[in-house]
Amino acid sequence: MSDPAVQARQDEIELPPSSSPPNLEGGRKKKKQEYKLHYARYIYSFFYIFYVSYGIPLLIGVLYLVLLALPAFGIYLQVYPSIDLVVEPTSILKQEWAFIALFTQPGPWAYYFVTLPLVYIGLYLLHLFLTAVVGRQIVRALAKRVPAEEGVIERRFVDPNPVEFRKLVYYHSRNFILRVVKWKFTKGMFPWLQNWAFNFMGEYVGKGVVFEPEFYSSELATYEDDAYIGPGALSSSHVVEGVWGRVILMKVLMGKRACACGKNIIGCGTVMDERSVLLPQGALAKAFHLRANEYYDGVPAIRILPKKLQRIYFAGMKLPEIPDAVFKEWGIEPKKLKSAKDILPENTPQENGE
Amino acid sequence: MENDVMSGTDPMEFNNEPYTTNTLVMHRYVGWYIVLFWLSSLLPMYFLFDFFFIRLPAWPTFFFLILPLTLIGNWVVFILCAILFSRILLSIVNLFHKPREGVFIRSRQDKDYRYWSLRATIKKFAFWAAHTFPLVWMDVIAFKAFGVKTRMGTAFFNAWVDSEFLEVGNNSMIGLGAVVLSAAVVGDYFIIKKTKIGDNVLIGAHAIVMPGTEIGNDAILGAMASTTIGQKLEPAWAYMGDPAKKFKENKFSVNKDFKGKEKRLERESTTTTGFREGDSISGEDGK
Repeated sequence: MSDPAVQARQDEIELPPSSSPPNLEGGRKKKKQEYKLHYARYIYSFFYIFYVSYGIPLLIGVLYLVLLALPAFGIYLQVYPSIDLVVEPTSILKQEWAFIALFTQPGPWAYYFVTLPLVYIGLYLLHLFLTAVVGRQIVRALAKRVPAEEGVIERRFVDPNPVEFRKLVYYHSRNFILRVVKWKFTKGMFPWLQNWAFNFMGEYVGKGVVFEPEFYSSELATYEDDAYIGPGALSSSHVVEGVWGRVILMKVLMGKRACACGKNIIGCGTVMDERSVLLPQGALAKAFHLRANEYYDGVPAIRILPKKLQRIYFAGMKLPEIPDAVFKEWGIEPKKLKSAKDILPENTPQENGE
Repeated sequence: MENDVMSGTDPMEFNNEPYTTNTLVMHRYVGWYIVLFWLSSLLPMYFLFDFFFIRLPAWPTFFFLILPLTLIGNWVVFILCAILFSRILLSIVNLFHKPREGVFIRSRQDKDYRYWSLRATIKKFAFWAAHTFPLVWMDVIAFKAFGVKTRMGTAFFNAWVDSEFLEVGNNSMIGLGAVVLSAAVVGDYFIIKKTKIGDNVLIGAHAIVMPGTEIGNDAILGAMASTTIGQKLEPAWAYMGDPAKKFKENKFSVNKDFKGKEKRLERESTTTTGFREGDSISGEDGK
């Protein structure tokens, strides 16, 4: 008779029987993974953000309007026998030239009428704030399970590797939320708040960074002070290599006063050192390194020699000398750009690449 | 015959991009932005109060039927107020510091850079309001209010177009996602130069026109091409590449003889388009 303790230990050690039957080739048939993009999670997250960010400001706004603002104009909420808004016969709004009377006749209405637009702005800012707060809450919850980190994710939807697949699903989920939040800020009335929003969501954005519209960014991005991302330029910390290929995540770094002039592509893994400049239409693929105080252009971008820069790109214009005090304000060492060495006379005819 | 084709009829007009920079040199400029919102919303707010609390209860059926029109009307009033007050404020700011062309340092110590940012912040509110409207004409009204020489028919197909130091000729077309700049940040420098676009010019999709570019009549700038600062594109030529180089002659220019020219001119004169005579960029006659 066997010892029950030993038997129990043997049971623990014994592997569980596979659910899949052996195949003809002798091995066990792998259980097929199903590709699911977790649409339900997307929809729940969106409605959670939507309800919280709109619901609270809307509730405050309605209460403010019904309880404080409208009574000042002689409009009251009637709850019995029916719910209705009742306008008093003596209401200021019933007078002739009421718009003028609102300001000329003394009464509480003038105060409420004048301050109502500011209340709207306050509620709109509250809405943006709540969007960011709820978005960050969801992103952090997702990042606890699968954090955002550099690497290569296999993007295979048929019988995928479970570990890779989990990374892929959470990568999509995190970026869905980031997109909702960023869309709110970039397309909103106060686009300057996007710097705060990016910082709040976990990226690093320094002081004075300018993101012009059409800017795209994912997680894993760092923008140091006074970096400039021009109109139509996009920076991305991920790249999808083919529909069935791989997703590559690499950090993007734009140093102090690095500048993408416009219509640029800053691919993943790019490091732009301080004061490096990517001229219009210049594009960087993966893992480019732009050296400090240099100009780059082309697809893919190459360094532009100072003479060519002056002759073609700056059209022989005389560039102003940057005082040391300004360098001190920027917090970088005074160093002339190499292009400034060969300043041509102002009246030199340009060739413009013809 | 004047050309007043309404570009908003094009289905590609997504109308969702602002035209002014997000550069904010001083945070206090946002105060002006809020003041503009406050001023612009008083009159529409009064109209809404009047409509919902006075008119609608009095004649509910009639005013319920015209409710959509009322809302759109209020929307338009709000946008026009935004353009008007922004224009007034811009004029006051320009009294203190007149906008000028030149090469400046991208630093908050530079007065021209600061004032450019302030002007952009003031104009941003009007453009933001105009962009909320589904029809493109509001944008063009805003452009004209801020001094851009253009026509109501100019087609800004979802392009980024600067709103000062800019002239756009008649019957010109700016492609989807193109960028037309009269002020650009290039590294540590900030450049303002007047950009001129002639008549019948086609700027391709995702092209970029840098400050100071002068594009002659009937010229074509290809898709994804870019001009350099102060580049001059000859009339009736097609340009391609980065930076843009001469590609081939535009044989279909109105100043050239091509097959079917008479028919084209006849069609344009009898329908919607036409070409101004003697009103082109100086020295460019298309020969």
